[in-house]
Amino acid sequence: MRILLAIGCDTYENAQSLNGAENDAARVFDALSNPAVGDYDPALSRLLLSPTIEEVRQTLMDVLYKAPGRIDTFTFFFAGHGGVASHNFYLWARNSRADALAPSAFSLSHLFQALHEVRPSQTNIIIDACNSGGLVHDLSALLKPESLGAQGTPGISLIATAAADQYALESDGAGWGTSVILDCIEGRRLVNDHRPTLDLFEIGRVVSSALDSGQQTPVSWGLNIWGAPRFCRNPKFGSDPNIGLREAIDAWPSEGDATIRPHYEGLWRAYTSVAGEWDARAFARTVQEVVDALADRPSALVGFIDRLALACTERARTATDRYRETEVLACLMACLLPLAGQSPINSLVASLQGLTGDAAAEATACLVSALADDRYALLCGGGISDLYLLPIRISKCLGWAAGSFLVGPSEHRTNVFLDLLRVVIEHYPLSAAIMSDSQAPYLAVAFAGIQDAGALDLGEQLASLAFHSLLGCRGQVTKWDVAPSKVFAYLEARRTGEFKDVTDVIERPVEVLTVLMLVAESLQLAEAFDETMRDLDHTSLAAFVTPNFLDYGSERMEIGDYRTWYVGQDIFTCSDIRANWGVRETPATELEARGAILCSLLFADRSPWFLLSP
Amino acid sequence: MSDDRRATRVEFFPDPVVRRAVDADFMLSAARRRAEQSQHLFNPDNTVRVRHGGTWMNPGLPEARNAEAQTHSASLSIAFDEIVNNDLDVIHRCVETLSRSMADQLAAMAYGFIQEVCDESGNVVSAALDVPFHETFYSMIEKVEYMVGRDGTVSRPALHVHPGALEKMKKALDEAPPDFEERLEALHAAKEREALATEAARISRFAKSKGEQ
Repeated sequence: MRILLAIGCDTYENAQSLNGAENDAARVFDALSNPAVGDYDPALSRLLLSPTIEEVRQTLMDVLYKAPGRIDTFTFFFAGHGGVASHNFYLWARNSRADALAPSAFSLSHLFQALHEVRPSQTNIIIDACNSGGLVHDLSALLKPESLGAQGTPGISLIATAAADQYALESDGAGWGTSVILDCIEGRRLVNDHRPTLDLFEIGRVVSSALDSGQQTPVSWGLNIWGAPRFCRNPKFGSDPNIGLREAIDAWPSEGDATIRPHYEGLWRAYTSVAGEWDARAFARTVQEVVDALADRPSALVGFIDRLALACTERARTATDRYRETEVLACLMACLLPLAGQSPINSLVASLQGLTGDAAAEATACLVSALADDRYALLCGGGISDLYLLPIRISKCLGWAAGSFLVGPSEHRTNVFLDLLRVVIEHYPLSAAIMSDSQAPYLAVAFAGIQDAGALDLGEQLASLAFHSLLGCRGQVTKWDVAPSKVFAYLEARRTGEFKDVTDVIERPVEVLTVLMLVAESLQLAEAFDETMRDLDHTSLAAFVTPNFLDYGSERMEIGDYRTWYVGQDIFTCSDIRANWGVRETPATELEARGAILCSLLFADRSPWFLLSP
Repeated sequence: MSDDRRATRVEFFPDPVVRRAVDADFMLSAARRRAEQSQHLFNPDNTVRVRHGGTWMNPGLPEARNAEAQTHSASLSIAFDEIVNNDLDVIHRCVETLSRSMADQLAAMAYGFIQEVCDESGNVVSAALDVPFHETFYSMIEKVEYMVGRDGTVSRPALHVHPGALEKMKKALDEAPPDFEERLEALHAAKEREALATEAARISRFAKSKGEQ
């Protein structure tokens, strides 16, 4: 059941009248109640023109609480005056008063409280009003994952057509924001042509782009974790309109609903974490639960991950970490990788790999640009913690930069990577150091990129700096997953050279030394490394080698060899490790290789040895 | 939201969890070092912790001096190049700088407070050019009230002097007349008896002590 409540208010008793709000509401109502466009039930939906606050409240009660069955999709549209007061956003009805907004205007808090009770599967909210971006004040209080997850609305999308400090403009009797939305709904503007139905959320991105004039900055926000996009049909989908309609109709009943339902509280929490403090493995665990539950329905699974990717990447773009979008995309890809042997999952995995490469390239270009403006751009605050984090950050950026062109070959990306590498060697040579064994996969990918780019002189310098730092601490680097509370003690130990009090944080065996020894020969460093190898006597090295490349994203890879070597026993020179490597495992397909590279960059306890092994 | 909503501050793999943990451990390290540097000033048994602001007062001891909380602060600067050059010695320098600054402020406050109290009570001995130093020292000891510890033993007062003045004081006392040491010991003994008597009077105020008598 799909219900629309469209409100347009031109006439005001206590405020200046408007011209286009009623027209906007009527146009939206007509479009969305058309079975070929929105398919909202015209008998249950309502259009209100310049209503009083009492009429708004009563109508909301009627449409939400007197519906004859469960509401699948509820869309709320409002055009008129709006404003923020006491951290609440209010929609102005005909008889609203500026000096008494709480009793006389319609608060979005009121709407959300009703939605929590009625629990539509998907809620869409469009506000074309001045200051409508102010509704974020209500969102922060109302859209908590625990309240949504526990009580109701699993999916919600919204568009506010003006920022909290902006006017919503209109011309020729129509609001600018509503006109763009209708252009998308009715096919005059392209949102996408590969999905049969549209989310309001993705329409919001088009509206943001179309109104990007500085006068009106729309705010859009949303997540749909249940079923297909539900806002309206996509008029641009497919060349045969009948196919589009048919597939759209098939998509309305969300076949994954019952499967996803038990997970939506966790999914909301994972989704909200994307813009803040984010843990890739925790995010992956949550997504993996749904992937496992939908594994026997590939089409539903693809639809779910596709929607989740859309929402999460948009949210990731609000994070201060420019690589967040890259990691989120890689994480979603990693969750699907074990199923990449099936169609259509393989297509989505390949697509996500491409998008991850694009995002990594974009973040790296941003980093290189930032470094051109400020050579300290790699510092995060510049505090004591960066003595530990900066070396890791540098290798991680180099790894992702190389990964961007290893999964999506491009001369431009290669050049950007080399630009970054030059900056590191010129301005950060002493931070091109090894602090943690988590740097092994980043350096493995970076050196593979160096070899691919033929930049052996730069590679030689990077490897020398890294190896020298390992000699300086006699191979005593932290575990890849060292507890944050142990890092300061490690730094003190590293400063004094006395590690006996921090033995519990030292990694044994280390993979990062394996990486450096494997690349030494090709970088013509083997002789130099061999001469100082005695200083690393008793150091143990490792490499976990698996033939199952589709398993690279799993928390624990079950199939493979944990290969270890000991300096001073079976390893005396760099050539020894190559001679004693064992069986070389290589991925059968490009999709597997790219998946393994991206998973190694995402989860630092695995390395893509096939890139370096003899 | 549009791409414009991205916060203006851009970072690359910031890892705030590790950053917070390291900052917290750094502050703990500086606090421990400060405590080491200040331990000569304060007996840990006499150190109290307050949770709120306002005035520190003893309603039952009208002779005690009221005081207010004082804020001590210190700042330090780390050059970006020190971090970029992975100069781990910056940790030691920062801990020492921060703890030294805080310890110095604490010492200045403690000595300043003692001076204020002594000035107010008149419990001050001034060195005069025409009075030998050992006599001034004797007068100073006379004015000090000896304390009895929880174990019942009397502790003699501690003397805090500038390192440069210490040698001069030792020399002056060494040059005192032969009977000075005997006089001083007699004064110490009298002060100790006085302290024990005061302590016994204090203890006798407890109900249990009264019952034992």
